[in-house]
Amino acid sequence: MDILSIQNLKKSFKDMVAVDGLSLSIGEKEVHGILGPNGAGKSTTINCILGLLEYDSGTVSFEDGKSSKKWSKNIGYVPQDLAIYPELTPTENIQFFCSLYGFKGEELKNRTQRALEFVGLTEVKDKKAGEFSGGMKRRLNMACGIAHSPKLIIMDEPTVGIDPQSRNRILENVRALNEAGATILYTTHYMPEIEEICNKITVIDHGKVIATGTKSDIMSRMGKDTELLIEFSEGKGNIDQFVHQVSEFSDVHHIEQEKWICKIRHPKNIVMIDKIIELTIKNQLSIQNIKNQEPSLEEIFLSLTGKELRDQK
Amino acid sequence: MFRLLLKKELKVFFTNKGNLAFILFLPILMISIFSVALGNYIKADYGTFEEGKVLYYEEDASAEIMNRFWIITDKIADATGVTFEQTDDYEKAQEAVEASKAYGVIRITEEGFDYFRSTFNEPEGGELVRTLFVQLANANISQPMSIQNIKLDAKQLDSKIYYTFSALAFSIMFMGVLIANSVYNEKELDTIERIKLSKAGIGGMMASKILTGICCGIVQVIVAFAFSNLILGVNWGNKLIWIVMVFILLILFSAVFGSVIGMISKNKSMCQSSVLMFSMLCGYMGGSITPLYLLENMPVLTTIIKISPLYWTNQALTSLYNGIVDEKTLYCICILIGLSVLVSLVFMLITTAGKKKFVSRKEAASV
Ligand SMILES: Nc1ncnc2c1ncn2[C@@H]1O[C@H](COP(=O)(O)OP(=O)(O)OP(=O)(O)O)[C@@H](O)[C@H]1O
Ligand SMILES: [Mg+2]
Repeated sequence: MDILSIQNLKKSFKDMVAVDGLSLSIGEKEVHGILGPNGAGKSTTINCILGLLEYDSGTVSFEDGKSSKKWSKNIGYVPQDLAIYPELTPTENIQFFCSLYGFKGEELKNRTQRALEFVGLTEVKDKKAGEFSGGMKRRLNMACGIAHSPKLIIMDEPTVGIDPQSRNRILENVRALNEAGATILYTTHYMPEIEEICNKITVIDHGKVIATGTKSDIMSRMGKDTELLIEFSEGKGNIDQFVHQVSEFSDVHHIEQEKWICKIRHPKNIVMIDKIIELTIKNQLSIQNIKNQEPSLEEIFLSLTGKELRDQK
Repeated sequence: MFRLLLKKELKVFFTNKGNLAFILFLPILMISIFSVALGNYIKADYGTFEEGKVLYYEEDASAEIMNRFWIITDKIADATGVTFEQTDDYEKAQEAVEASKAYGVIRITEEGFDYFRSTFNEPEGGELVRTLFVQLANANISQPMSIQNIKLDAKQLDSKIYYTFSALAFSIMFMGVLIANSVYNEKELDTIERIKLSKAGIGGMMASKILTGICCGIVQVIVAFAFSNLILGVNWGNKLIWIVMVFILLILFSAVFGSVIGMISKNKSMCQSSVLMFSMLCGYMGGSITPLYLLENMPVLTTIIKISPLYWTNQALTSLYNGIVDEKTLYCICILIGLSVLVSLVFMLITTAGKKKFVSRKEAASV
């Protein structure tokens, strides 16, 4: 049963298309990661889902086909830009946002306290939020979005620009929330986070879905690639022929040559290095340096789309 | 829920020391500065009969009536020092009265006297002269007429009194800036997105902002009341409830206006300067800086000033201070309520018609 389904969503700002026919569905109890570079349209998609932006076409429906207006009390939103009152303490912030959902009295107090504990801000609960570190503010931002126990929690890059401790705490929290029964939609442009917490992944760019599926699905399509970087001694042997011969192997997804340096992308777990070494000897090349690298987000994009990731904004 | 919304609002509002100082000291500051600095404006004219004049126009008047007219006017001239001047163009005379060039014009006919005065522009002096005239004219002919027992009980208006009311009204208009700011801040902080998603919604938020404005305004009125009573010795008179009601309606208008501007503004400086400009204009045209009777004597201004809500407020407050609840109070109440409703309606129209374009900062960037 899908808790959220988006069909062919389109949204442009003047003539700039931010979301371009995006479809997505999120099942109950999923932790669904949306991965995409800056400007891919992640926040715009989320704002359309929440009904904070009017979209041009497409449909967004929640459980039982409900619209965001009818269903919004079940949504917890953790926006990319901090949305807290710096003049107020964490207690007051959480209490206020939670009270907007109709909670009051003892219940409100308990919920506030639980949310504070959850994000680890109990000790500073009576200090002004404006004086907090970036990581603490992020955690408070999250607490404000979840205190009313929403079914679906939408987090837009909740770990941007914070220290590792706060980051780990947030990731742990996401897992805990999911274990407690919440469905989570999580955006980021940081692959390791997605790997750590998500069980479903959608990769988007230019407002379009590039790949979607379970974590193992996507991983097998991109994550198992590894990159071999070889530096040769200059002027020895026939490098052009070597490159040509390597690119003939069907398992090699990509090869790039810059003077005497080669980058070769091939799936992990395949005994490729032997064959490559064999070829270097055949072509009388001498290896100066060789190393294996995990692919970066850019490279994942490359292997999924066959094109370079455009400049980061 | 609403109580918590309001509680948070007040908390955020008053943690800002600037806001607090504004609320507490602006009325005091404005009242003191204006009544001292601009004091001479008022004293010269209001409440004295210097250079006061009443016109009269003879139309089929019998000698008997004219005789009676002379007796009455002599007495009034003796008692007050105003002069009576004949005119032969009744319509011109009426215009002169409307333009505050004369207190009134008396038309003398076979049946008696007909006292014409301006509904809006009649100064204190004029009001007294008219009261005297009417009382003397209605007095029994056989009895000797005397003005000894006519009590001149309309209070004299002086600068302290005038500016207690008009400067307070002015500072209430300025409060709109604070409300506009506080609404705009919700957009800037993105907290508005959270509020929109919740049960409270934009409506709940706006209502709490307006209510906050009303609370602040009431504090201003209390501060001004205490200050003017204790320090300036101004007694607000026996129509206190009415005066407070007029102020509360003015606060309502100012808060509604401020919050709507905060909502539709695309950037902070536009938000602040538009409310500020509007308040300044209203204040100037409403007689909060230059007293109303001076503005009313200026050819074009005399019409233009009527678009300022403060004009109507100051008119009403002057009457109410003198213990008179008249049509001025009624006009003022209707205008303030009407304007508040109008501004809210316009806001609802643009937000629904413009697909909430103006509401969201996210969207505002693209408009
Ligand atoms: N209000 C707006 N007006 C005009 N263009 C906008 C607006 N909001 C977003 N855009 C554009 O739409 C595109 C998608 O933006 P969006 O914020 O959704 O990206 P994102 O994936 O969230 O990026 P990031 O990782 O930087 O947060 C960008 O090119 C951005 O410039
Ligand atoms: Mg974003």
